Amino acid sequence: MELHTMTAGELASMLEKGEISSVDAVKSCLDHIAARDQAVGAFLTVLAEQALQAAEQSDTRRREGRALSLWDGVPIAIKDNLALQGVRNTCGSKMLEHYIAPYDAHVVTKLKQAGMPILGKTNMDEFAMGSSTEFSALQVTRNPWDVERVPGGSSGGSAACVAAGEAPWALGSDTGGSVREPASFCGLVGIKPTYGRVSRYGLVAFASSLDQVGTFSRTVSDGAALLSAIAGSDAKDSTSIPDAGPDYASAVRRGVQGLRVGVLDGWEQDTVLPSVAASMQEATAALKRAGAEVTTVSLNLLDKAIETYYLIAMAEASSNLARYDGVRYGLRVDGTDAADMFRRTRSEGFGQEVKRRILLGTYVLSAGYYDAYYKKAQQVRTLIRSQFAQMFNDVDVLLTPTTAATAFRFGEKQDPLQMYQTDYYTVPANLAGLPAMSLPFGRCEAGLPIGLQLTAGALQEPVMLQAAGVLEQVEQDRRGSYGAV
Amino acid sequence: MTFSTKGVFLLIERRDVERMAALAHLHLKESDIQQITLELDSILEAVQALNLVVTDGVEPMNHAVPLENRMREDTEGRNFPVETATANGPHVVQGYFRVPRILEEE
Repeated sequence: MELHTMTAGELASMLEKGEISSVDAVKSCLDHIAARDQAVGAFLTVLAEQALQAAEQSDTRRREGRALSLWDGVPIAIKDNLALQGVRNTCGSKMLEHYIAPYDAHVVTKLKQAGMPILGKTNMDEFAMGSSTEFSALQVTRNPWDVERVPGGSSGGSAACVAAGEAPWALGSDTGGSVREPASFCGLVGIKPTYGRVSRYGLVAFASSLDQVGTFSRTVSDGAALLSAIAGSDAKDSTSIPDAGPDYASAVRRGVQGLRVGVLDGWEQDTVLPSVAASMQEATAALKRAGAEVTTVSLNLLDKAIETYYLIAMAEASSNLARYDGVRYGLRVDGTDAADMFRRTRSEGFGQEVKRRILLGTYVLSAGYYDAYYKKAQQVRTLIRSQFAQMFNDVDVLLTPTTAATAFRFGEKQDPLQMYQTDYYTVPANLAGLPAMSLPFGRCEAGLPIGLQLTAGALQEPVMLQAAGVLEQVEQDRRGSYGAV
Repeated sequence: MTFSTKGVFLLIERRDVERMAALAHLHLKESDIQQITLELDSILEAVQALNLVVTDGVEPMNHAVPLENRMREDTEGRNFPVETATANGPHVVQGYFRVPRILEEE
């Protein structure tokens, strides 16, 4: 068996038994990156030398019985908006193309503390604004299942590299679905934890009240393990939750006996692909067979979530991206005076989608429009959160599609509104701060993976992992394979 | 008043877009302004759907989790050396960021 097709759990177990070395695992990934990434384009920066050095150190630790964690020596890839000291952190933007991170993000420190060699930094929509990675200013990333199609976004590079077998697992970030949607398009497990579960320190800000670091993996157990590795409080992020969280890994095999699973009233009327609808039916039946109670629930503000989300995300983005002025870091384009320099720098440094969001965000925050747009969206956000809270009195977990359709072709969604609509099922969890995950369940007629989404109440990641564990078992029994192409 | 290609009244006009661009320090190409105006207008039109939701007396939600100020002891910590903090500066002179003239000469 080739190492690059293995899950992180399998690699960890072989490392523990001494059957392979970390250098073997890293070399296998690097060889596969060399062979495959020209076509896929997942990585913006490959850290071959550093990863091999970290692997050698890991092997020494293992030999001396000083392994830092179960995952010591298992390689990983990270999205290019997570700071890794001494390495460029581009955010897929010309603005930060040559920016070198002077420190490690909290999650990167956690990976290093667990002994994981970092393979490289992955491509993304510019500043995480997009759902296809087509808005990266630096590179095209293709879906390993069909290179004519997008990998999803904004964490498209992280999803593509895991699906292509270039890395066993990866980190991304999820502001409105940027982990779950690419996970769905690439046949992977993608977890967005409860807001605050994972520190945002060193994650380049897009919309601070929505951003959360998330995981990509080929199995639910790997996702749970990676979540354990990165979760926990951090004094450097005032929104991080003080408690480190429960044991996620044990939840995966707990089963769903007596678990209350909600499905949305009238979801069949949503415009989802027939194969996605079939997957929903099969998943519902499988959960029932495994002992879950499935009930119908209603969330009537769900169809206002996209509008609420985009107003809030654009407002926060316009404020967060004001820092890119060409003074302290990033691109500078000289001008006749300071104001001219700001304008030239920002005009050349930002791409079209980023400019669109900054402009609209500026508009909805401006005098005269603040109450009508921004405050209104914040009020609807309160109501959406309340509806979820009420719903979670009756059910433990909500089952929906992750996306209404499977991966689309490059250039298929030219209209911004059409692209935003891709996030229909994913943005509500960000608005309400809830944990949600996507897992592969079934394929469409074109043979592309379908993703289903599980959303749980705040801090209830284990419940969602329980349901995911059962569905994954069904999927593996009928396919006998993981999410690598 | 500006009209869209569909002949309907626009929620956002060219001069709004120009004003936002000035506020956000963005220069828009002449050829882009019209397109961006129409795109922003269609987005604003879509978000009008929120007006159907009754929100009288509803507290605006600022953050995903209830936040409290986190206090810590005012103790000396470790910071970046100046060289590290300025290493990404496009134009650094003796530890300072150099920018073009900001104030007019008297």
